[in-house]
Amino acid sequence: MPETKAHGAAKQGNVRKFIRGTERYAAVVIIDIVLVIVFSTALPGFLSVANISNLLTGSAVLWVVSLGMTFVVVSAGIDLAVAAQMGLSGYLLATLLLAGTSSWLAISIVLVFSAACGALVNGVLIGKAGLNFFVVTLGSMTAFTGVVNIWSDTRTLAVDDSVILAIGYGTFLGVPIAIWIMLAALAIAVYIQRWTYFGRDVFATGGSIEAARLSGIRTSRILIGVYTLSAVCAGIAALIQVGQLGAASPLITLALPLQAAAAVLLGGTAFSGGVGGVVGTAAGVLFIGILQNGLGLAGISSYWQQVVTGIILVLAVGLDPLRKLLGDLRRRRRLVRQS
Amino acid sequence: MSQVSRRNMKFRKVYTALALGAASTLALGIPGAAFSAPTAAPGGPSVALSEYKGVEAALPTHYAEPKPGAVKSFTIGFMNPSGGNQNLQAVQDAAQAETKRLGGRFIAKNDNVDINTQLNNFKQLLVQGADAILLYPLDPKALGPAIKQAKEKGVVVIGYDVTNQASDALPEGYVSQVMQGRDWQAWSMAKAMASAKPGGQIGLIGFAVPVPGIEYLVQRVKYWSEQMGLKVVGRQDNREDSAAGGKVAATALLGANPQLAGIIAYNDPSAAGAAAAARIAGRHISIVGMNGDDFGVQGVKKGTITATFQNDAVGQGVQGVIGAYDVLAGIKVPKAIVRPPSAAITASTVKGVKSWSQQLAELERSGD
Amino acid sequence: MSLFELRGVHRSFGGIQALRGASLKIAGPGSVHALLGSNGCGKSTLLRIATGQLKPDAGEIYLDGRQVSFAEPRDALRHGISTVTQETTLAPALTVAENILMGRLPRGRFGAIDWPQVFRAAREVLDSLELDLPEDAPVGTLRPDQQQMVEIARAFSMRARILVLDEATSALSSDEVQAVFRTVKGASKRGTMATILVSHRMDEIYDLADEVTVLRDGQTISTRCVKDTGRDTLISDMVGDAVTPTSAVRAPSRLPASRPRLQVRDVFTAGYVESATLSVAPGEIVGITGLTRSGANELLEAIYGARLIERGDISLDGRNLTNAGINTAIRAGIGFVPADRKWQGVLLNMSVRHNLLIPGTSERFRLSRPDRSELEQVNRVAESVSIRMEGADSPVSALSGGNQQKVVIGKWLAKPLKLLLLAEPSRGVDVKAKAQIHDLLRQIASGGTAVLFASTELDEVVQLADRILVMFQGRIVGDLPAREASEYTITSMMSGVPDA
Repeated sequence: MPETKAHGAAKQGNVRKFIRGTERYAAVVIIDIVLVIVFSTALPGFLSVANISNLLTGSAVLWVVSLGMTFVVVSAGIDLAVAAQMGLSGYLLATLLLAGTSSWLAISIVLVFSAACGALVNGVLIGKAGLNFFVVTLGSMTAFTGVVNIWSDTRTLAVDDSVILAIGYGTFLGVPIAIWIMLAALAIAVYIQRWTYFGRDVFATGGSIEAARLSGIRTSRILIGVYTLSAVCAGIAALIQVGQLGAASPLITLALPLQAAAAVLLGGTAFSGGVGGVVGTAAGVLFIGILQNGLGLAGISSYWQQVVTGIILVLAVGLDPLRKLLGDLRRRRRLVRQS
Repeated sequence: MSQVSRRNMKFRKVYTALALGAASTLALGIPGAAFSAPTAAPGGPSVALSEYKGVEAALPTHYAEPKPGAVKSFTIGFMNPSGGNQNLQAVQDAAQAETKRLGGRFIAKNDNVDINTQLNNFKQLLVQGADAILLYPLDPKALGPAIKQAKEKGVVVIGYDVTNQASDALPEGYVSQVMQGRDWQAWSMAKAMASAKPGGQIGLIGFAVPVPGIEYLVQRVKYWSEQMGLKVVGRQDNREDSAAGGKVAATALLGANPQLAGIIAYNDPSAAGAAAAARIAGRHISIVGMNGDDFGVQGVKKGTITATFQNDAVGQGVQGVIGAYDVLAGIKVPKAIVRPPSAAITASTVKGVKSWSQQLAELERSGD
Repeated sequence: MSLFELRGVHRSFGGIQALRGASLKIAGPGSVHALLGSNGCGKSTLLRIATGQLKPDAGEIYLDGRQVSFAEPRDALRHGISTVTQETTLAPALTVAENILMGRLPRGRFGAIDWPQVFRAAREVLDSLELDLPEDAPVGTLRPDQQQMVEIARAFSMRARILVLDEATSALSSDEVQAVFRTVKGASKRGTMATILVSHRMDEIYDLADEVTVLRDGQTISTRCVKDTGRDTLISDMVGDAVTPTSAVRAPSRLPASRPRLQVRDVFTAGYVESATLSVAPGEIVGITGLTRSGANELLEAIYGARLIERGDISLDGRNLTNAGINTAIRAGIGFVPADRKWQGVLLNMSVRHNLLIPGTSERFRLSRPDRSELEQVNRVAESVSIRMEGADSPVSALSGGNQQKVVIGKWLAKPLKLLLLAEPSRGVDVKAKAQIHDLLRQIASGGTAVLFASTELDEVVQLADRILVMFQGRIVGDLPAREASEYTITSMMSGVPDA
């Protein structure tokens, strides 16, 4: 008898654990579903395979970059250099391919290069030297942009490589390869976040760097790690972008880091660090993608799109203090019950 | 009071006096400078656009006249590369009016000068069932796969300013291109400056973002200027595509070249900014712009801009649609046509030039 | 008629009664009145009421015989009650004159500042206090004692009736203290201002004060004339007759083994610890006590490796661990429970289980998964420490203070521990949890771990420790087995009175 009772209690605990785990991003997921319902009823063609495919592949770059950004924000930082890193890595990729390097070798080199950039520039300056993350990533963003402009001499490099183009336009089992990459990236991100010590340490470092340090976590290494991870994600995003464009372009999307930060914030990760997660970020990216796609299909002028997106972003960010308030109320009720 | 504090006090008094003196000098100086603003040469330089005999003069200027009803129902997708640009908005509006006149559906997208947005807009137009897409490729080499896909689906793609020269091959997938005649523009701008300041030293203002068409324009301006005896002594780029950015660029040019006689800027906002910079620096120089938008027209009227040229935005918009319609109707089209500047805007001609909105109003009226 | 009087003041916080009818009477201008009492006697609460930061639950305040009440600190300031604390409230970039006359700069015609008058007025004030400071020097360039003098000059210039020196000189060297005191004496001689001096250094009190009031347990025990009172009388007043039932409650202390586990020699870390030498044997519980800025917490941080030391060495079982860093300390089997739980001890947003897991696994490869056996061990620890929570996955922020502290201690128990350092083990913890934590610590010690803790709570030290060390101004001034310690001796040592 006691066994079943314990089992039942464990099951209930699991359910409660699941609910508690999702409460940070449940709101965004619900909004996503609502948006899909609204758009599909109001706009014929929204739910078509072609459009949904466009929606997802169009969000692929933002998706991958935002996953990496999540870890940085959880560590109570931000990586403004992601777009510039993406441009730089993309240009390296195109250069290597045009020089005759084999596809997989080029891809590997680019990923290692991205990791090195992230670790040696942002990582060391923020993690070891303790410099301010905003200023450092702003500086590296500016520097990398300059490097791309000098290197490319403002010229675009068209790419003909079959593997890269397959990333952009190929399909596997009927699903675009870019989407497979998105899913794989999410799976790996979830694994790192939930099932490795590193993931745990990032939350600890972001929650209270002092407490983490005093408990034996090597916080400088963790910080180097998150910025490396963010740079690698930028590298993967570069593969996707070069594949989709068919070229490496020196034009860098300056708004990308801010969009990624917005997606991360929407997904329940707070800028103060220590809370949140990648699943929420994915929901946040979907939110931005669905909204832009739907408003575009509806023919709403891009200016109104900007207004609407801005308003909804502010509302979504307003969810954060609301969440905190609800959390506080719940906690106080629990304490009262305990005593 | 200690000696130190007495000394401090004296310094404070001196500083205040100096500051007051400087402030009053400036205050008197500025209106003074305005009073001595130059009056433009009566009528301004004259430029006969038809005198241009460069490569672009040999290109056709329009597609075959469309037969109304030849294509039953069609959708034109138009991608405006940059929101908030009066020139491009005029092209878009003209394209929309022409599409309506021919009985088709018109979908407009805004690329926000971002290559990813342009890609996504392009793909979305395909999903929305566009039969033809008109676009200004931000990077002609960068949309290759997408445009190839469009071609495979039978979607007509016509670009604006895809290549610098008509003799350059169009990237795969483009059926034709409508050129705004950058070389023709350059020739005209150089001609205006050469007649205002013969043999003078001039500076050029380009665009910091490496848009190929603008780069080409600035290079051709340099070529024609030198051909016409002007001396190009410097070039600065506008970082923001705005008047403020033009002012910054011009200030640098003025500062580096005390003998500067004129500035040729790649567009009217930059020219307006240059005019402001010249006024502040108290320099009397000639300024030539391009496009003929409000900045340019107002500048010429006020006398701060010597000359600008009206880009045939309406013509470009209309022809883009006609070209697509022709292809859909099965008619062959030339690889490129050119819509050169439609008017020279100088002090003597400015009153008579029909603005884009006036042209658009006429176009819409003709469609009823 | 007295100049300033607080009568029958009561004040409580939550359920704790901080003041039970305390009173303070400043006879007249020109006197320096000291306020004395050990930790938790209610001194700071009484002062905060006197300076308008708090309102009393009951009791009255009289100024010049008339009853007054302060709605906010600015009120008290307007009535002429100025405070000078250890942290100066000066603007370092502004000149001495501007600081003295802050907010009251004289204006000339057209409302512009009359700078000549500013410097003249400031010079007057400085001269009347016989201060040789340049009135146009930026305050930031002055020495700390000179800055304090500027603050006193400012209070004087504002025609303060009462100047409160709240541990104002605790960070100054003895020469600097002398300089400040000369200024205070000079100001008192002017006859317009009375001074309330709060200090834990007996010497200062005997140097400067005319009268002294002693508080204990929220009540005024005595008001005496300093000249006629011996130090031991004052200490008796502070400590009272309470005999702490030490031996009755505690388990018999273990005799230290021949070889000490922790050896600390002549440690110096700038600003906090002047020279500390101590040792702790395995199974021994040693408590360090001292007043708030004695340097005890900083010494613990230095032993753990969280703070660099400039001189001296620290060794564990013979192995040198001086400045070896936190990770080496953890690997060597040292655990640390910091003083500020919220910012240094727990990760509030993470679950209990995760918090307990961290130090024990700090050496694992970061990309590997926490495996099942560790998680089970963590669960066992949580149970053995009897943390009251809704489940090991509830966030630590949901726990009460006492239970949170158990988490902070518990996270070190997953592995065998050689030395456990605790700063303020029962701060912010209710009575019941405090007892549980003490039991827990005794259990840990009996398992062979050396325990070294610092606490400003006297009864905690006396009840828990086998041996007591007293720190005063960065030095260890007393080292005695708990059996021989009485509150009296400890308090004298804490006040800088050498053991009579």
